[in-house]
Amino acid sequence: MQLRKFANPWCLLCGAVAGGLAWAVTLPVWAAFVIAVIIWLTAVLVFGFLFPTAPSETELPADPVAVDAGCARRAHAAAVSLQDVAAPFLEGPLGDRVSRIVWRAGEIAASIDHLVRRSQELSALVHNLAQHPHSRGRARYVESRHAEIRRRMYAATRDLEAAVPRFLATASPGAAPDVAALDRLATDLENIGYGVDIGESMVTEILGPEPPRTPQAPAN
Amino acid sequence: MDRYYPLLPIGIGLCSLVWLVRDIVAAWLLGRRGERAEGTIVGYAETNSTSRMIVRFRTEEGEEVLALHDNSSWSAARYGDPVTVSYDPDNPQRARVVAAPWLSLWPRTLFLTVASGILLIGCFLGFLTWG
Repeated sequence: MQLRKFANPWCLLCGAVAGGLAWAVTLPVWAAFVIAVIIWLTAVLVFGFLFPTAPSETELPADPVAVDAGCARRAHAAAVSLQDVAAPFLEGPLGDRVSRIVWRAGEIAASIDHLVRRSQELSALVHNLAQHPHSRGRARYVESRHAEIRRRMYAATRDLEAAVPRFLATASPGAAPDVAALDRLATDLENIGYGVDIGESMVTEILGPEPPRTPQAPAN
Repeated sequence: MDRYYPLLPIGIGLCSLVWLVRDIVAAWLLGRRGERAEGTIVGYAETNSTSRMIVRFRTEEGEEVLALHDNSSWSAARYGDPVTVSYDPDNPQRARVVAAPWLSLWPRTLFLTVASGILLIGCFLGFLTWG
């Protein structure tokens, strides 16, 4: 999609500013227009082709389904790791704090897993809505909410992974635990959980509550 | 097109600032190259949307000129008010009032503030949308 580089708003703005300034210093309109086009194309060439910027972390990946699945795995692995490193402290004087951290990490991982599952339903819904001309507006809305939910999932996964080394830094066996840092970690995990909960409420607002799973028939 | 909505406030702010810069540059160029003369306000040229002052002055060659000046002040000039104009010797119709009791910097300052505010809001929205 090379054409998208020509529609980069910042490059358009560069051209518009240059053309405007050229007109402002009393150049004729046609000369200002030529300058605007030259600056716009130069900006596209420099920032779009010669020195393209790396996609930011907030940008969505090319294959979101695969990344979503990996996201759930990473979140689960991070929660398990946190549980493992926290195990020696569960019985100590910081047991309440640590068990709360472990529980919250498990909750976040479960929420991310749930969001990943429902994310596929959202993709299907967007696809269906986009088929009908009268529901394209709704499709765009759902798509934008879906993108926001994905951003929350990815951010929460990154933060959850970062929580493991943070916990090790604050409470390593044999050393006095840093209670204040542990409290900060607990607070941050609460905030991460809050962010994921907002993602869950967005999903529920669009798809409604998840239907209860049908229990499997007992094996005879 | 959702992606481009910040261009609207940016465009409005930018156009306003560019117009302001052009006005200042034109005044500066005329002030540097132009001749000065004493004149008087002799009325207004009015349209449905604008009202421009008509100023009468005499060039160094003795030619009497009636020129239009944009009314960019809080208070309007009265008929017969004495003013100083700067005019292009090659085209005396290109004249601006450069000294008058009612000339004020406030309109331009206010315009600059509003245009800059709109532009900054647009840039912030652009940063959020395209950043």
